Amino acid sequence: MKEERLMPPQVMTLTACGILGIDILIVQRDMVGVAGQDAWISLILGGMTAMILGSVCYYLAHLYPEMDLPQILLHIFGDFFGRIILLPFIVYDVLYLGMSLRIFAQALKMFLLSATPMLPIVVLILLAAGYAVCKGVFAIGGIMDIIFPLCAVTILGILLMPMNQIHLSNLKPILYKNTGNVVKGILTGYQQFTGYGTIAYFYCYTQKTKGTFKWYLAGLGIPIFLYIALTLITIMVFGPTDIGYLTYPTLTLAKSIEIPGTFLERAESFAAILWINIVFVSVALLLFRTKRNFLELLHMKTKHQNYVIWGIALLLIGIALFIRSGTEAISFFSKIKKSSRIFGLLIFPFITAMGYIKKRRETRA
Amino acid sequence: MVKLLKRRLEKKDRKKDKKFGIKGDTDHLKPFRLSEIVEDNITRLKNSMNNTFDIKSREFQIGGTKYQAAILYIADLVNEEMIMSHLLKPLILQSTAVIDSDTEVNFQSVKDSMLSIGSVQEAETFDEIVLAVMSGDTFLCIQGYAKGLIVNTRELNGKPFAVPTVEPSVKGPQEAFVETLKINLGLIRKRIRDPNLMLEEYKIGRRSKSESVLVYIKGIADPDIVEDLRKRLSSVDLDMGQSAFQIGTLVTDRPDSIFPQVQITERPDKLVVSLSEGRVAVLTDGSPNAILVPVTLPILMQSPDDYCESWLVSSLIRISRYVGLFLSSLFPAIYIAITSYNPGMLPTRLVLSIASTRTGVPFSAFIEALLMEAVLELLQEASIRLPKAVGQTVSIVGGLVIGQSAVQAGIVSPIMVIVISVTAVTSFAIPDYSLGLASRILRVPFMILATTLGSFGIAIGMLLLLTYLSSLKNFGIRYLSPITPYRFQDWKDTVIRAPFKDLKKRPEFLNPEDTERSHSRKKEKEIS
Amino acid sequence: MRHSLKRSSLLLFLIGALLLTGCWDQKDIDTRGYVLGLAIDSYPPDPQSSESTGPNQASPQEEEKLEKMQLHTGEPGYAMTIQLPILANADMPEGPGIQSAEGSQSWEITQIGNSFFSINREMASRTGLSLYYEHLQVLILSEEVARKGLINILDMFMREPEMRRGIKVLICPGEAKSILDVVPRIDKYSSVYLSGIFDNSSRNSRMVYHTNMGDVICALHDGHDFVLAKVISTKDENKASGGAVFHNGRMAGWATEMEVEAINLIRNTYEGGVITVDTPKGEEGRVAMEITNEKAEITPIVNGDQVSFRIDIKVEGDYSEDINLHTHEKLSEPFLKSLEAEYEKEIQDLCTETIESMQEKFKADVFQFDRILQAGEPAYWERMGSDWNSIYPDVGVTVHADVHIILTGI
Repeated sequence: MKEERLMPPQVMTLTACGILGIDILIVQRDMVGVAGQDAWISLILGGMTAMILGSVCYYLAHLYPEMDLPQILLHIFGDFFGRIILLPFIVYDVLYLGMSLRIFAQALKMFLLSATPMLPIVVLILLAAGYAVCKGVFAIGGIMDIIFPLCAVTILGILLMPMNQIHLSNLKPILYKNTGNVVKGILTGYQQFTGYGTIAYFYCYTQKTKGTFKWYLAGLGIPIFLYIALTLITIMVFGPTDIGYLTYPTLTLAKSIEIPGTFLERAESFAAILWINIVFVSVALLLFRTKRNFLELLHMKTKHQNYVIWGIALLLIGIALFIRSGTEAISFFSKIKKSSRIFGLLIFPFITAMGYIKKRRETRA
Repeated sequence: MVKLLKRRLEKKDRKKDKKFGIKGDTDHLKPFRLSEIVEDNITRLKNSMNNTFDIKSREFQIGGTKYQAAILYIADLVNEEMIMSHLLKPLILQSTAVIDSDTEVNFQSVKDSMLSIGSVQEAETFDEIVLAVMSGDTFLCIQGYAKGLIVNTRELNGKPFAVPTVEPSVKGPQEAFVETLKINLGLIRKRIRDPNLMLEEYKIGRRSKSESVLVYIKGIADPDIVEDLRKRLSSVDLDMGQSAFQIGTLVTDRPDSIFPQVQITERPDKLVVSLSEGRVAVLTDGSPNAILVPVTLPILMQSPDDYCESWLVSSLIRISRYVGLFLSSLFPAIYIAITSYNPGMLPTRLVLSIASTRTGVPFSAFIEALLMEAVLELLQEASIRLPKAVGQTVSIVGGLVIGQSAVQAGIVSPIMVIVISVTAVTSFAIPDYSLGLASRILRVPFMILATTLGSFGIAIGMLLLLTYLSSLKNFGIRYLSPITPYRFQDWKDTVIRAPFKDLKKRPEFLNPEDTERSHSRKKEKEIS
Repeated sequence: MRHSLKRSSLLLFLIGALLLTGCWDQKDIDTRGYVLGLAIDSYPPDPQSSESTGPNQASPQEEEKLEKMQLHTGEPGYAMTIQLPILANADMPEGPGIQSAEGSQSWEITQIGNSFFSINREMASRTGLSLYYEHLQVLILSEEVARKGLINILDMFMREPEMRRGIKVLICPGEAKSILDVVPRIDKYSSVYLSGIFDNSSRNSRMVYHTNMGDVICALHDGHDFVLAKVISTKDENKASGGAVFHNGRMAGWATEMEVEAINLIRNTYEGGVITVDTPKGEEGRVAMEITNEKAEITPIVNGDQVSFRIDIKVEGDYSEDINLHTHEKLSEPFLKSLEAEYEKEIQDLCTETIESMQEKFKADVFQFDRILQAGEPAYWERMGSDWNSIYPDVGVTVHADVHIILTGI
């Protein structure tokens, strides 16, 4: 039997799914909080930054085509320093994942299941994600292939439906005495797309063709475009001040859509499915990354991976339910993101540079 | 302008050339001619037909002479009685009568006066002979002549066959497999006159020793799949190998999956089309079904009728089938989730009318649905068991008594009756019976998820199901291919069915060796 | 194989256990109380306004006992009335003939308190249904309540996820409950009937259409002034007539139907309506034009600290009716041109009068000039924005209308 490989289009779906995340519910509030009505400009610039960083990341994976990120780190920096560099990745991923789950459960409680406790919600979504990770990278690829177009179409729907409610004047004045904030917003903006690093984990499984990089860029571009469009439309519908009052602007946007005369009059049913799916894919991919990181960190064999997965899952349940207050959870989430901002910006160029030097030495030797 | 027209015409001409230049499957045999030695001829012919086990030859001496002769035919296609009484008998036993009357026994006299069969033709090149043998004629050659005779021994009336009952179709052929292996092979041979059609025989069952035949087309089917299946078939350890399904479960990786891991079909036309796409079949003596591997979900959603209508029509029908699959397992769950968790999604008037028809129903929506679902399953089971004569009773009792009276008695709400009826109808839109069963089994778990966690529960259930489906693999092929991994080329015949002119390539995900359906130029093969 | 069977059964057991303890939120569709309409009055009722309600207000003392609740703090300030459909009666034939107590289609419950959320929960002690607001159609406020200010009332509606942004917020002179008490002739429930009236936006321009909860909340957050629809009622009929003008989040006064039409014209919310003028010939004739397309553009003109506005209104319409017009040149170009000029004058006068009245009477910037300044002249707004309330009443506005008659009907 031939060895199974991920097809180039799957690079697109996996990358895109890695970028989509729980942030899609709150991206507008985050961005408007920094840059006001010009948030979308920051987001465009942030998106471009993410594209550049993503390309750097792709180059790193390309340098060592048969290794994933933890292996590359151990290879470049040696067993000890490699593990030290791996640690912040693990801490960030686990905390981010735990808090995403928490925010997801909170949003779900608020809009769908008000009396259901958070524990079963978190447990079930982790169960589904853990099951997917157990089934391996190709099964994950298959799931993403199906979920990604569904998500993209639903987001497009949510974007196009409220077109009759938009006020262009909400965007004005453009860049009036706000350039500083817009520039500051780039940092917040690029961080909405941190999923570009996922490529370093599954590039070793892909079929390498000339088109792979193009598919990867498409995988970065589509979610970036969707986020920007979502932010633009939300600002145009609600105005920057009102967004500040909304905990989950995307859900409110979906709730404002009504399609009279159809069987399901309100579009948030689709939004609900959308955001459950998005959280699932991002949790599954992050769990996959964390599993790989842990395996390399502890030098474990792949056949023990199931223990690692379910162990991480238990840890995540603890993290997700640790904080009791909802607002605290959200502010903790943005604190995590804020504190890792500079690290995230520099780490990949650094690793890539080191990897490049190492590779050159190797080829010379 | 004139130039343009000229170029256009030239292009057209070239196209025409291409059209006429298509080489048939037997054309590569054209340069080969018969020799004067009988054994040589027979072995070479057998080799060019890949030595499948149903090619029979008989070498003999023409009665009373020293002339060596041999006949060659395919057992599944010919009328063997006819060969015996009109070919062998006159040649072996009654030839003395001819010899007595001074005529010399030679090729011409055999042809003219010894064969009591209507159509006899001379042939010299392999391509005619192979084609004729593949069509059910018998080939006769005589020592010393570099030519032979093609004798028409085709089964004229056609052999007995059944009418498809499990997979009926509107416009497709109305032929189905029967319990006899030989007839079934004939039904396949009749449709493919390709010498590359391979038949390999296996004896399965320690006691029953029933014959199973592996069927595939050499040069199309992925050799890895064929090799894999060979290994699995020869290692089958079974007391009695009888039903095709039994063998099917033994050759798959995931026999306990509720989703069919082998496709079971009773239609020779479906089987033949699948072979030409690069799939592999196994037929078993005593079973009117053939199993087809590898199988994927989109393949199970195809029906032979798709290829009998305009592509727009078939595409729409196919999409509606997918909708049917979705609704058949999810509709009651969606109803429960929306009415008992999110009635806000429905239009106000609809909510009020559903709610008002439900006032007075003592059960929760879940119990109500479970009740109706149980009744539905029982009705379906009963209608299979009941003799045809009393079949009407079930529909009357089911439709009128249970449906209407239950509503009037206030046990279920009328909307629930509609929901369950829609579900019942949709499950029959799925072309594969086993897949329909799978979708029925999934209904109750989804209902439980819906009643405990609403639409979140359904979403979780869907995600688990999706994970399971995309982790399933048989014979190295993912169960959801070609939908995922994306193979844009194959999407033309997946959820939609593109026009035939766009379907020139065989499905890529089955790894066929020869990817082109038409316009292909085969390499000339050496025949040893 | 056996191993995996064991594991999967364990997993199934776990999931099953998790699910069986579940059904936390499950609620059958017929056990919810679908609140269709909600009316808020002030309590104790103002003696002046309660006179207008007529026959159905006599509330006996026992009912009063039910309607009052114990409060943690403060005195009761509001009376909230909700309209619930009576599902068991939904199949009964409807119409004004059958209005006995048993046969009525809806139930209006009033509860008195000072926090809407606690009122809402207190109602659970009286209905046996769990109240469900996703299908709320209209929120009716009495004039008195509206004059006290909106922001403190709407807070619960903003927070509660069951509330939709599309709920119509309506203001009524007199008692708000009386609007819900209407037994409409063409619908079962007065709230559904009432919200249906606002679907007529392309036929009539004298109602306020942008009266949604979402719009109100946005305007309140941004500090803009706005207009909400006004409703009045009889025993079996409602009418949307004119609007209620809000300034600084409090109601400032009523706008007439004509003023609402002008506001719609200026704010680009005009979706179709009829304007009638006398014929230019000076006879007794009148010509009606149906407006099919309207576009207004507001340009701020900043001159130092001075600001004025220029409003260009482009109108396209069809010649739909004439009365008493005896002339043979109805279709001639000069006649149509003069007619167009007549319309232009009418529209300009109407708008100018309305703007003046809004500036003088209510000081309410319902045209949201402040928003236009904010977006178009950020520099000016930064300097003068804080004084806008004192600047606005004296801002000069010029209106230019441009009317084209497209179809002539015959």
